[in-house]
Amino acid sequence: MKISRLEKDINGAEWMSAAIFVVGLLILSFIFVFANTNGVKTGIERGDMAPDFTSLAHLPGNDTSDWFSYRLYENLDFNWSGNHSEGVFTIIEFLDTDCPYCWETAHKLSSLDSQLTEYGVRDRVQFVIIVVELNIPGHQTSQEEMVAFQEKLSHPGCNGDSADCSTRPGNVHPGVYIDDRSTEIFQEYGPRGTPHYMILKPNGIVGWNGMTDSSDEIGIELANLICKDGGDNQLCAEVNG
Amino acid sequence: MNKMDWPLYVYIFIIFFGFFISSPLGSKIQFQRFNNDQSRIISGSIILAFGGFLVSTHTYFIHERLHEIGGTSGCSAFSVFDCGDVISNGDYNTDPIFGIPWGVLGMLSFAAMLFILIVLRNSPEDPKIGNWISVMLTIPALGMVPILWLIYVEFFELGVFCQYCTVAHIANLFLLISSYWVYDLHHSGLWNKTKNSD
Repeated sequence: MKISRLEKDINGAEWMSAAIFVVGLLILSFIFVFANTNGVKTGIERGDMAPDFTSLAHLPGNDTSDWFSYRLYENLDFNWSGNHSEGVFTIIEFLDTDCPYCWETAHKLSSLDSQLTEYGVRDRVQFVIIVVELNIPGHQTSQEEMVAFQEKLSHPGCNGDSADCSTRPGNVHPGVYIDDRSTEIFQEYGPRGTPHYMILKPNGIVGWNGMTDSSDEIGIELANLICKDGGDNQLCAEVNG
Repeated sequence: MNKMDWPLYVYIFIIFFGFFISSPLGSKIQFQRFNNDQSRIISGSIILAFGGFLVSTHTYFIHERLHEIGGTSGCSAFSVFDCGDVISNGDYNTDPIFGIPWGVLGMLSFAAMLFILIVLRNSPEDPKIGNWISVMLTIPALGMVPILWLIYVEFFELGVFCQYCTVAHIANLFLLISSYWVYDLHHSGLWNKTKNSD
């Protein structure tokens, strides 16, 4: 059956109203979604949301074989008010027990721990140390070696198999050691290497991405973050003059 | 589910109401606006597709909100429980070819269905109406492929269900059934070419 141009136009007009309705509905829906979300992306740059992970973890003092499941997001506060004078900040370090740079800077976290205790703000910070096994000859790590590195126990094989773990600089490391020998977390975060330091705000947003922290600024950056909105403690009194 | 999931109940009501109207059960209730089965099935399907569109939009909304907090912890924040584990899972929350969030694909599919259904309703005399009906039957039929895969993932890979996704899947299944009723009506020769539902 041949359809006249007029009939085609009439049919087209019927379709047009349906198309306008549906396209309008789509546009309104997308506007609604975009207007009510702000799409913070995950990553390790300042302002990004640190990616979640679940892995085996070890606390200092526990038995060498006592590893438990640890999930980062269960240790953050997504309802954090945004007021920096409250909440627990998270220091993350990626390290490799056979990496000589990690060995040399191993004192950093334990001295930071001591300073935080002195200033009375130790309860404002948690430490998460993610131990990786980089794909470098001589970098083989076991859970025993991780615990030995964490607690400075006697164990041969640290620092590229050249040193006993008990001789590493610094004291016992605070916080949890995460077993990431598979480097799954390391690849998800994507740091360039080890050591790599980061500070997360209480809600998991990256407040500082210090990379290797070669300028040794982690303490200053942490203090600036904790005391950004003031605080009734000795640290903030010094930081804010 | 708790009181914060009230939109889900609204979507479920709309979807089941639409399916009820388009089903043979709907013919037992006298709706004055529907002069015949064709009008009733198409109108019910429009309501059903609209409900599917809404729940897909909500799914996409959850997807975007979960991106704000970056991972699989959105459940408690939005009281959607396991939806966080499903929708924010980077391995499964987008289509594997183009990386489009499933919620957006659902929105586009239900919007396309809405478009075709409105055309059927407004232009039943269109000589190419058979093509539109075939397309309308094809969209939800194709949609069943990723839906079955996602159900497999929920069952065997993740071990959790997202109730919003499941409602969208049900809406698609209902639309497939109601589209078949329209298809069957057209092929049985009972298609009424006059606009009749206003």
